[in-house]
Amino acid sequence: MFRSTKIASLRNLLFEMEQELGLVELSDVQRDVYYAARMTAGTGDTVQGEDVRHHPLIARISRPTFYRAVKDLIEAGYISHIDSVRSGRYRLLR
Amino acid sequence: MIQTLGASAFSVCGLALMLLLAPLGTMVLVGPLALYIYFPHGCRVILAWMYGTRSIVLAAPAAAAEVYVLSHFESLLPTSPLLIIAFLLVPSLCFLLAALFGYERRLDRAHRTNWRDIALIGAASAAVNATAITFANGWNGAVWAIWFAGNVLGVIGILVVLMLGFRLMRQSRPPWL
Repeated sequence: MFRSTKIASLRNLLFEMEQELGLVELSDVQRDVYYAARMTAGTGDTVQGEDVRHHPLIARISRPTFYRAVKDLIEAGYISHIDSVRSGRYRLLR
Repeated sequence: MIQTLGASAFSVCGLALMLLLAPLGTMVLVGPLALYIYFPHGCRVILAWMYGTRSIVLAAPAAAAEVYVLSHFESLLPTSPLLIIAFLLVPSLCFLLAALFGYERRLDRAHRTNWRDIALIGAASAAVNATAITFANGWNGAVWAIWFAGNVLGVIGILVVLMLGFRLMRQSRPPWL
């Protein structure tokens, strides 16, 4: 086993520990949605929800899962609504 | 070569960390019963998990430093070079023994290992270490318990320190990477 594989195994073990201790903030889906939003926003910090939802990175994610992840990201302080909740526009905060 | 240096440096860091936090141990309990979070044991257990019996060689430089440094701790029982050699051997032997009893958790051979497996085998080797040092200095149950607790906390402590370290590394990257 290569050294890097050993280190990767150690990191994986410690990441699992982090998850079990409840220290990992974002799930895989939440992270993907955030990355998609970040890529959609480009150099700016605002995005349209529908544009993010059609990003190839999260094409496999269902509509309810997407909006649940968006809600979680808002609660975790990664993004926020612009104007009203119904505007469908978000600002990236991190 | 890098692997050897990295693993050895990791053990030395464990010893340095223990020395850094040593005042905390003396605040909890005083005199011959000072509780040290014995990070060097934690480092040896992790190295034993990762490298098996090769960890004995990898952790040896730190163990040599340990003999020298610990001789200056009045509140610790004297640790002879022979005992330190035993401490070096015990973690990898515990992983080996566990495998013989069907509890294979070594990195190269196990399908997967959980951090609790490492903590458990670390606790088993902590019990052996505590027994060895207490017998070498005349049996005392309280001293045994303190050495055991210090060693177990050393394993859990080093896992937490590494976990937080990797977490910090991950978070210091831009989130889109």
